Amino acid sequence: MIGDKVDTVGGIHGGWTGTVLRVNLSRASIKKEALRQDWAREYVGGRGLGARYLWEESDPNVDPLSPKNKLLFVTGPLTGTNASCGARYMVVTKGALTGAITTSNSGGHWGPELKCAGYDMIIVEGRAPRPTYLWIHNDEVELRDATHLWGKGVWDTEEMIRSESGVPDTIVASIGPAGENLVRFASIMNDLHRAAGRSGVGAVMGSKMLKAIAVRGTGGVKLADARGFMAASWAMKAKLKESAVTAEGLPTYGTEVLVNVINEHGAMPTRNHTETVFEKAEDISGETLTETRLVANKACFACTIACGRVTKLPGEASSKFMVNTNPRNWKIAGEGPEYENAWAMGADCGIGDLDALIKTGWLCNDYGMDPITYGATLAAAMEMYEKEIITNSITGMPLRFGSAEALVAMAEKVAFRDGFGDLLAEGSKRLTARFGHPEFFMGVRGQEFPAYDSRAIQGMGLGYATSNRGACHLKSYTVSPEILGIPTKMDPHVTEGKAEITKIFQDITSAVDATGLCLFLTFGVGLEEMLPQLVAATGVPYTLDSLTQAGERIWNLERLWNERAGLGKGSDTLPKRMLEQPIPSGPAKGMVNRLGEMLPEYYRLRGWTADGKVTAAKRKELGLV
Amino acid sequence: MLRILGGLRRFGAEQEVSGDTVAVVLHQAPVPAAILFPDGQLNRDIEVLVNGRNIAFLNGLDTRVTGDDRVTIFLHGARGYPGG
Repeated sequence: MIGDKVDTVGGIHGGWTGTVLRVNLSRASIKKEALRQDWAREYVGGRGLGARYLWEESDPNVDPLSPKNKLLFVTGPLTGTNASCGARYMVVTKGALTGAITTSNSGGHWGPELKCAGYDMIIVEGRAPRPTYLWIHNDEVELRDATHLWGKGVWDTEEMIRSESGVPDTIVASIGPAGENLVRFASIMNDLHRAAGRSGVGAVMGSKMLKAIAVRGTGGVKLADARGFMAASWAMKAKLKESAVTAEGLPTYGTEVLVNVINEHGAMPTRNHTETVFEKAEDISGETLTETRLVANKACFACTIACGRVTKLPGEASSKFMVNTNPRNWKIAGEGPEYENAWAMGADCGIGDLDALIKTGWLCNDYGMDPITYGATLAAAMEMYEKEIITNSITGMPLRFGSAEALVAMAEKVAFRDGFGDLLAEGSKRLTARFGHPEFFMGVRGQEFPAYDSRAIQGMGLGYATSNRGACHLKSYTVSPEILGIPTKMDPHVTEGKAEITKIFQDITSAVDATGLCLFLTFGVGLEEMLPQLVAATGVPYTLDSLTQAGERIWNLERLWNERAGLGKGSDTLPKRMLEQPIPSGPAKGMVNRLGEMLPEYYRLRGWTADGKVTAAKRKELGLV
Repeated sequence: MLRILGGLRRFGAEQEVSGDTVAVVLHQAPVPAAILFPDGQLNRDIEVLVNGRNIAFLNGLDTRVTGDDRVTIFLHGARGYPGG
């Protein structure tokens, strides 16, 4: 039992609503419960609060696609407030792709809508006997039949629910065919193009026969100190306006601005990480996207950055994706790509056709699946095809590196588990193992790497190897110091100092993820500058130290959960290609990741045992006893 | 060759340059000196690479270059961390 003391004093003054919605699909029951206030203070919200509830309620050894796995949608105390980028909600569950705890978050308007309906989180249990969706309109909460929606894409689903409900401002989080068909990297989508994208949270939702959660909330979010909050909020917005990244770089180019930057450093994984410089990077870059296909940028709820890319394809290709009925989409095509998708479906597959990346990104959004794992899994298949391990008789079509045709065609086959798509739908770890070549899986804990080669950026290797939800760029983005020089310049080719910066980034990121704010804020401000909003909203006197410690507590709890799931000793590692196969050319030629130089120091700084186990002393220090 | 990325792209994408140090090369860049060298020092929001290596880990503005080298500049301007 962790932290079993129930708080009986204090109360909630703002930020949190204090109400949890518990939905059991097997019994078709809906209950409203009081939020555990002691947990809320210790774990803040979002990723932290979700991990705490999951720890308490779910056996880490359950099959992630069984009714016993729980699916949590968790907001933070700043979600739905006027804080810039206070738009995030976190999906917390056992990942279908990884078997590890996963915390996958999304922006848009769904999280704020849930808060305004009066709920901090939804705990989904069991499995419905037939396709079902959850309808929430403030106090009105009910399960509705979704048989007519089953098989529909995300875009149709959103429009149909909105239309049949008669409440036009309803915000919908849903799965597409990928989630229904238990594609292991299916995502949960909201606002058409916003995704809780990674680790297969959509497959978990699909396994519960839960098509969607539709929300309309009109209540607003209470603030403990409204005047103080507004002052803190305006102060942070002013700082965001001063930053070249949050005021100019992200609005102008989106995350895609990184394509050329990472490629110039020789750190762009190319053709399933066999190379690290992509010769067609300029063709798929943020600069090219902005000049040729960008219609406008777009913001999530309360966001003053607006990194979203609204894009349009020329000619016939665009008509299939028109969304004329949704004014939010400005009656034009779609959104994206972001940097990570453009890399996975682009460089990692050797594809330099920007239109194919845009189109396939839209397909992934409508089918509801993660374009990072999709692209990376296709890249692994392409390597096996090039090496003649698999042939046309298996794949049904040529899977050469660089084939835009294969990229577009296979997306549909994966979503519907058609032909070879059924094998791709399992993700690259299972795919490569099936054909006897696990060495072509490029990832950690079953989840594929994102867009930074850890041989060229040493710290990212440590971050990937120790990431609780499997390889991920969003848990310790040491690209900041190693490439961008923030908060201090660190040589990406050396290992000194990387253990310390990785631990710091992991803890701080965990804290930000718990507040309900977007991690992209940290391009412009630090945790200490976000803090006054949290204090004013909740009335809880968090300090920089206590909030950072909350982040450490969250990280350790996730680690403990994974240990209980059997993902402990020996799982903090990288593929042999990263550790033993030198980069063949480019600025990082000859390098491998030197994980062995960083991992012992990392464990020491964490206060864990020499083989990476959370100690009793650390548990006690963090209140995890 | 000087290559310009991201927020500085509005001043040009690539330009042939000559010179034996990074400092000499940057003074030929199409980016206004007021942006590249405010107060006479290299803008702290601008990163400079020579063949993919940041000059901070080479010899700074005194890093020597030849005609075969590729100098890249980009603006980041990030203030916080860990996401930036």
